[in-house]
Amino acid sequence: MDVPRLSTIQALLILLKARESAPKRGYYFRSWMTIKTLVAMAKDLELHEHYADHKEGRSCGSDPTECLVKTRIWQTIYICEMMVGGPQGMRYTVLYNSKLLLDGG
Amino acid sequence: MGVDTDTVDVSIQQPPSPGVEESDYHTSRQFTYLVKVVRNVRILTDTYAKIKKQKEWGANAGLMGLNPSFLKWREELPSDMVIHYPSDGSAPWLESHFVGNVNCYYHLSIIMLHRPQLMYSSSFAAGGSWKQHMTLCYSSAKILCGIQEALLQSFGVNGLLSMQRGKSCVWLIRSIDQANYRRHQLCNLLHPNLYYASSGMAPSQNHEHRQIANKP
Repeated sequence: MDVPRLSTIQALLILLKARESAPKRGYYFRSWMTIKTLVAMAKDLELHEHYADHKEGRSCGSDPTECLVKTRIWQTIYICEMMVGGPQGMRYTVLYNSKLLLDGG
Repeated sequence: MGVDTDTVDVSIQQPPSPGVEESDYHTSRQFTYLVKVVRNVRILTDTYAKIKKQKEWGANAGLMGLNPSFLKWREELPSDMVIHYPSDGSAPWLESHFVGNVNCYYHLSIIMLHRPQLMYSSSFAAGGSWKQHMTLCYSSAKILCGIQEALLQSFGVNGLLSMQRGKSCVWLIRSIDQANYRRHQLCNLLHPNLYYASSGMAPSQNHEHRQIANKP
């Protein structure tokens, strides 16, 4: 956890799943804090801009496999934020534009 | 902080990019359909956040407007991820536990979307619109049970545990199945908090699970 890395994010996602099997005291809050760490680390690595960069024709500087990994990691964080935060009633600070969703789907 | 929905790529790459292993491409393609179904639930929860203080929020037009897009996910599912249910009611064949679990998430999303519309129906008269919501919820609940049984048979407990999150959802679906057609029991079981209670929470730590599991 010394610098943001893709492998660290992957490890945290695995830890998130591992804790599910043996929940301890404070499990829900700890899960949510893990999500917050994941999002912060991923944004430090600019994973939130990865899709937009490619849509605008820019390279992300990674080989095809690593590029795919970046997409999958950001998708997984999106899923986990929803599944962990949703039941805990967390608000999302960015309100999306639903028309964008229909166009992009 | 938070993940903005329109920063998440849900496009399906065809054909795979050069330099990407076939197995990676196959996994990523299927995974995108999980992202799409979760996106639908995210839309639903964001809509709910805006309308929850309304007295009859389950009858809100914005909520009902989401109905077609949820069904569209199922219509667009590629053939290798569609589950075929035998007419004799036996457990369906599953290509993988991932395919089973992603279809489970879909049916959970249908229940999440339609149960408030059922609960807040303006009337429960015979032939009323409440029936379509109940039919969708009940049908999805039954299918969920079938998929969970197939997962257990084909992949063991590990198959159930392999969901991205929500290993205890089997408690929810078994409870819904036990409700039969009694509307008031179904409405009680389909309370909005119930899905959240089943998502990622260990059964022993959720008293609602114990209440539901003990219902006749």
